[in-house]
Amino acid sequence: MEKSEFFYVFSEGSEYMIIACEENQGNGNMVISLYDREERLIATTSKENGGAYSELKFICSSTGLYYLKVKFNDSKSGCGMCMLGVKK
Amino acid sequence: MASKNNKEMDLKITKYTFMKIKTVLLIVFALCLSACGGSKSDNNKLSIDTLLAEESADLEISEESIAEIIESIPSPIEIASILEHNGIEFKEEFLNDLDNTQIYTTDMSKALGLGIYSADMGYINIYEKTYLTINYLSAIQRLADDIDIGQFFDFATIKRMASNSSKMDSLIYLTTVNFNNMDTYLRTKKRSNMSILMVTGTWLEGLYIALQNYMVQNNVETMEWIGHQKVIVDQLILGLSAYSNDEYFKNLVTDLNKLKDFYANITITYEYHEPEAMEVDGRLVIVDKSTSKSNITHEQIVEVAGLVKEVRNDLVSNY
Repeated sequence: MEKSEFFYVFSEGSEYMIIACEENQGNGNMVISLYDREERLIATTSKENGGAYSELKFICSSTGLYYLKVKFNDSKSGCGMCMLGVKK
Repeated sequence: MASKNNKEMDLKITKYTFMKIKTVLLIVFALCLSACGGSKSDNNKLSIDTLLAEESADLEISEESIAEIIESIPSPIEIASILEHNGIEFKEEFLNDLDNTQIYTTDMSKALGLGIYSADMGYINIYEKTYLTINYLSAIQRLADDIDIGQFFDFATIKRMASNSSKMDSLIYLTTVNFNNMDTYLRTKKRSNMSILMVTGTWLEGLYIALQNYMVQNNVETMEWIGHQKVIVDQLILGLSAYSNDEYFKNLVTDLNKLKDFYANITITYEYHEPEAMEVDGRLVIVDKSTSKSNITHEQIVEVAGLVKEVRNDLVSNY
């Protein structure tokens, strides 16, 4: 299991959509975790019974730096992309 | 023609470059891992936190870190969207004068000017003031052509969309994608210095518009947003410092350091509260419950408004 990390400034009152698109669609191996400025876990797309959500909607109430960490479960490596959008 | 509901539900992909870069990074990262048997390839990379904590002048900042900084700054559309959300009104007089394109004579000042006009364009589009789109588009085209990135802007299509108010969503999307394509191209051509100038211009113009509006409306949400820009100032200075052996960058960093000094007096208080999580239509929805408040006061806003106006005037005039 490996991971990759990015950061972004989210703003209070904005709704963000984070979408995991993995190379082998439907595998549910690509897990995105969202951490706050204190590196505290805010959300993870990992499901309790295995697999992962492919979409995460985050309704932000505190402006600041957030970290997105991406990892692939059950495999040593994986390919995918992470899309970030904000709702108008 | 999109209905109003559809329009509101549309997801604005404001960070197309972000997506593309992430794609590349993830794929490359994965391939590296396969090739290296799972060992991490960036063990020596300094984290952004580390970089922000250090005196930036003494650090060598990697291209990768600069790219991360550029990607982390909200896009022109997002900034404009936040301003609109905060109840800020559209004021044409706050836009950068179109005649100022004449005074951007170097590649660096043109890149910065491009960022400034990008913010204006985002502001114009979010508020659907399409009567201004063509003129600002022409200014952007001129500057983009001058620094050899005009080919990434589909001016003809944007012009056509601007004449049709029902195409605003498409217009916003296309301009965002075009700007991000320019940025991606600059970075792949090792011209990140141009990219960071564009991002700086965009952010500074967004801050300028917010401040000028606050002076008129005294909007509390805008005051908070301005206070929270502290984190962006630090990041921009860090990114710009990588090029501070150049006189232009050095002057810009000096100007932004005045803002940094101002923000040193502003405290951001973050209170964590457990977020609410739910599944809606197969999607994970997280409702943030934490709060982040700045202690910025009206008097401090007045002070920083003067400071930003001074810096912005320098940038849009004879910098």
